Formats: sequence, C-alpha cells, structure tokens
Amino acid sequence: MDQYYYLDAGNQQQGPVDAGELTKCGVTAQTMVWKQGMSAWQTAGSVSELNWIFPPAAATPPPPPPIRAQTPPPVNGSVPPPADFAPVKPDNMLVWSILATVLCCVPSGIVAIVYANKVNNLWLVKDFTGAHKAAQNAKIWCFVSLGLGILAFIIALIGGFLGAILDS
Amino acid sequence: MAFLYLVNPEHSSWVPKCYFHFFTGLQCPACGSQRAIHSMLHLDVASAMAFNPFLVVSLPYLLSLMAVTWFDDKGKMEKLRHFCQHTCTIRIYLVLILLWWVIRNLM
Repeated sequence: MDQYYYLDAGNQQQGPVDAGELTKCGVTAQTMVWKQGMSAWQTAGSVSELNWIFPPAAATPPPPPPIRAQTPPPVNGSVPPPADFAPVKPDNMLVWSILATVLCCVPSGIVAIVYANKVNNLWLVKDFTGAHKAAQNAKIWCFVSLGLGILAFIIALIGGFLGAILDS
Repeated sequence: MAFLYLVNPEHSSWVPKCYFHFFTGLQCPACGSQRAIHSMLHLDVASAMAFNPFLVVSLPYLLSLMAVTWFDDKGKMEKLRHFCQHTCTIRIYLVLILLWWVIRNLM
C-alpha cells in the first residue's frame, strides 16, 4: 500500500503512514498530503487514489493554502521532503526580548535580543532549522529574564515588608 | 501599565527592583525605565527624560515594533515591519543599548 506524508494541525510534516492508516492519524479530506511521485502537496480529498477513503462527493472545497509558501517537493520524488519542509517563520520574540530588557533584567534580555536578530538572519539565508533553534533560544532567554524579574519582584516584596516592619 | 500609572515607583517598595543595580551598584541600561514609564503615562516628558532618556528616545521604535508584531494581522504595515525587524536596525539598537550602559555609568 502507498505511504503518504501529511501535514498535521500545526503544519508539521508527519508520516509516512499507509494510506489506510491516514484517517486514524486524524487526516481529513482537507489535510495536505504527499507521497513519492506526486509533484506537489494536495488535499487528501483531491488525490484520486485516496477517493476510496475520502469520497469526492464528500470533499468540500479545499481551505486556503497555508500562509507561508511551500516549496514543492523534488520532482523525481525519490527523496522525501526534508524535515523542515513547509517552514513557518518562527516568532523571533523580539518584542518580548526588548520588553524584558527594558523591564530590567538586562544581561539576559540582551542575549534574547541577539538571538531574535539571529532568527531573522538565519531565516534570510534559508537556514530554517537554525532559525527555529535561535527562536527557541530567544524564547528561553525571555523566560530567564521573566524568571529573574519575578525573583527580583519577590525580593522587592520581602524587602518592602521588612522595611515596613523595621520602620514601625 | 495601569499598575505603573497608579503606583509611583519612586515612592513605593512594591515595584520590582533592578537586581543588576542591587548587586553591582552600577546602573543598567533600563534602570529608571519604570519611573520613566510612570512619568510618560502622566505626560511628564521632562522627568521621564531625567529618569531614562534612552527609553524615551527609543519609545517610537518600541511602539512601532509592538504595533507590527501584535496589531498588524492584515500586513498593512509591511514596510514598517521590514524596518523594525531589519538586522541593521536591531544591531544598531543593541550597540546603542551597550553604549548607553557604559556611558550612563561614566557620567
């Protein structure tokens, strides 16, 4: 039986799975699928070989294509699409990085800004995996900043209490 | 924001303190930013400038960055986004932060 790749709800490539298993994986007539030999991703409902699973009559018009352009898989179909196929530009957390910096968790906030910038650069040179990794790092450093900020807040609270007690 | 509007960080112990300043005694680039935001929210630009001029000067950039990131679903501000997210812009902003960090501690 033919094996298909499909895009899950998060637009991540999954599979390959047997055609008969597709419905068990949550694939519907609107899910984008691809198998070796196909020139581009299609909705499962529009693949004639899958009509026995997704009857054309039941197939509703396909949803608008994913926001980011998908590079078509290799024409010869011998190589499965790479893992970072159908890339979605990761959120580079730039706003949060700068907010974290401005709200005074400086060293960590600046690291987050550096990584946010890296996301953009790597994305431009089409290093999608690298961009995603940098985005992860930016996120981690934002959380570090947030954690330190909360810690500072707690210290300030305790300090405030102690100060109030000492004053009275 | 509401919190920073209502509470004056200058006179309250309930506002998060800068741990960098706490541990080193030096000022970080963001020291004074909460007081500056408090002043800005009260439309007191002069004292905001006194607390943290760097923040006041970079407010337009921060606001446009927030606008393109959170309030531009339809992509109407693509040019502004391009500018805000441009590598050069971010690098210049980083260098300015670091410069400001050094300079304010020398002053």
